[in-house]
Amino acid sequence: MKPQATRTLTATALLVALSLGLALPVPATADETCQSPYMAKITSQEDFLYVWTLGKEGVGDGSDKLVTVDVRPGSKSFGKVIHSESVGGRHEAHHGGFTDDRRYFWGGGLDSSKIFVFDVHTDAARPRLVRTIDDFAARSGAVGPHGHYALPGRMLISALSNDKDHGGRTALVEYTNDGRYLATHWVPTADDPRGAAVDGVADGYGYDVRALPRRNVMLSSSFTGWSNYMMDFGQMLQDEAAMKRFGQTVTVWDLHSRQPKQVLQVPGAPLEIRFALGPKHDYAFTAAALTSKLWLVHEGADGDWQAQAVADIGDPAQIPLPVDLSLSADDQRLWVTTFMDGKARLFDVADPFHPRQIYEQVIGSQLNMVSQSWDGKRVYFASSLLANWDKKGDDDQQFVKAYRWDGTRLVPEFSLDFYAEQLGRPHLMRFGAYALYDGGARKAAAARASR
Amino acid sequence: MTSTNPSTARHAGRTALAALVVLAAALGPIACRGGHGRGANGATTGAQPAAPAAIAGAPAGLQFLPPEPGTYALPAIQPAADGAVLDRDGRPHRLFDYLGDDYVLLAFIYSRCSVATACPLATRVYQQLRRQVAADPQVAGRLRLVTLSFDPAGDTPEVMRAYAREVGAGDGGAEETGGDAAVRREAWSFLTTASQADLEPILDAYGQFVVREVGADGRYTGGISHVLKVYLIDPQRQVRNIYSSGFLHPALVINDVKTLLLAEPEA
Repeated sequence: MKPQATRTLTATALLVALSLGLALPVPATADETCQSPYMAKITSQEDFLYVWTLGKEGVGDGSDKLVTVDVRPGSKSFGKVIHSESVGGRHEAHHGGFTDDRRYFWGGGLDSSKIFVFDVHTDAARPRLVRTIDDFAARSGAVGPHGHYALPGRMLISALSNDKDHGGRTALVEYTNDGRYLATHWVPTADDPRGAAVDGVADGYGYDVRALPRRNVMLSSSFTGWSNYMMDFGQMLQDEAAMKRFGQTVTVWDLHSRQPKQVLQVPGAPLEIRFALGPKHDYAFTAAALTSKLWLVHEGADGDWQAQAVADIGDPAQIPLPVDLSLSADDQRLWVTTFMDGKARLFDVADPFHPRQIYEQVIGSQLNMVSQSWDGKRVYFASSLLANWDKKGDDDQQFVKAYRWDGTRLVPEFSLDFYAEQLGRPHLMRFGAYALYDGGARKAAAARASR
Repeated sequence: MTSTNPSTARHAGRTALAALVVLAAALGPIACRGGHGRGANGATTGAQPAAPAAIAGAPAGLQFLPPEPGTYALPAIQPAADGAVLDRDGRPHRLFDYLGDDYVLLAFIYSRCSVATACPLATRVYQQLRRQVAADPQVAGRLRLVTLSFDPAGDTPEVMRAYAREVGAGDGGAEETGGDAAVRREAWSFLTTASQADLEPILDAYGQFVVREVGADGRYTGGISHVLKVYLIDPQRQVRNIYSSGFLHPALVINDVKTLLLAEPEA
């Protein structure tokens, strides 16, 4: 029998697509825009919102946990918490990420440096803790697993600190998908530039890491070390020495060899990085938290990468403290959240050199994370930054809020008070879907039938 | 944590943050560029950053120069896994019969896949690799290719034989002597499995997961969704790299093999 060169992935049946800077065979309508390009992607409505949540003493079981919120339109439990998987103890749950096959979610603890691995494929509605990686600091020498970024068969983890002095010097660390340590790639410093071209400061600090495979490039940003991020915020602000220990750099890496190539000067603690998705768009955005500047990191005509500040975020004199970004799938719009004033701001970035704010909305008393669907129609927000940096008293609102973006404004869909729900401080959000897994379509159908 | 008046705390916080911002601004210029000491001006004012010039020396299809062999490391990621397979003549073998002695590139595909960036990409790259490896004295005879189907129902040995001919791999030429030596003389092997029961342990061990699509009636449509993964396996049967669509290019694979060859202990 001759092999058939027929299209076997029909539009209605296609549930998982490859997206690596090439056009998808079927337009994605659901998945977040900031995921690793190596990951399986959702191409239909997301079913669940997973929220990696930091425990708080006196709130529920006080433990860090992965919370599952039902976001299926028409579901009886739409906008409700349907599952919670505690890990035992408080580890400063912060960020996490899926493996490339999207079968597991890795959630990191910035304090304990443990990484909690959840099975999200057996039952996407009920993630289950299946493994705890507890050798991160001992094997890598780094502390504070922050970003968890999928590579083929591996996870690349951007750390925040190190186990020698708990300062900001840190590394990118590789693990296999089944939780075995592979390698440590230290961020360049002035004393040890590791072959990178340095034009100014090389602080060795880390925070986020993102890849552009088409150009063989990774970018990593820089925050601060354990001694700062675990310190009480008010106490830290009074500590002159501590206040000098914030990142000022973005490092450019060779993705294939994991070697640093350039250290760019981006003062004021550049945090999240978002690469543009267009097949000829060789640039990324980052926001410097301390200076409230939006930066463009782009490849120059001669092949070297460059960074320049391109917009203010709010009024820098008011110190809004930008913390998260979400770039639309068409590279035209950029959501920026600011922690201190609790606002979500939307920028028109069609001209990435001249972003302009076109909308803003107060979401809560404090604000951190933002995730949007691929079509930009659904936007989710979460409140917590760090246990010791979150506001206190009545301003310590802890929430997950969902909105519909109708093209001109955010329309509320649901709001969850994570303290009232006895859960804790919500942080990173990620989408889940039955359709990603074998047998998932049957489970989804069964779930619809039971509504 | 000590309690405090929230209003006082907010005021104190803003005052302290203001000091922090001043300090941050003092750490470096706001608008500056990295690279090799260029000035602050120079970016275009167009709607998009200027497209970089074509990369001189970059292999066709790559928008960058691959890192030089030997300038990086490829640690062992996981042991390669064994399993029960069938060759294109329907003879049973162990997957380990095809591993060992040389470097092997193992790709999981199914012959009906029409997604350009998935299985057809793997096959195209394999076609290019056959030519380029044969022409490169450093790697000639050191890298073999294995294509393994994850669709035992659709990709019978007969189908895999026809597929091999269709992609220009001929009949393989393996002699009817059986055993490791015969199959390892094949430059490009086309394998399948007898059943899902034989296939699933292999897929599970390599972390290659597939989703069998079902229609509205709950029945399998014949379509399979998957993330392309191709495994570079060394003579000790250790996986040394895993490629997905964004990184599967003959130049990168050959450079990786050369890197591993350079790291081999001298005989």
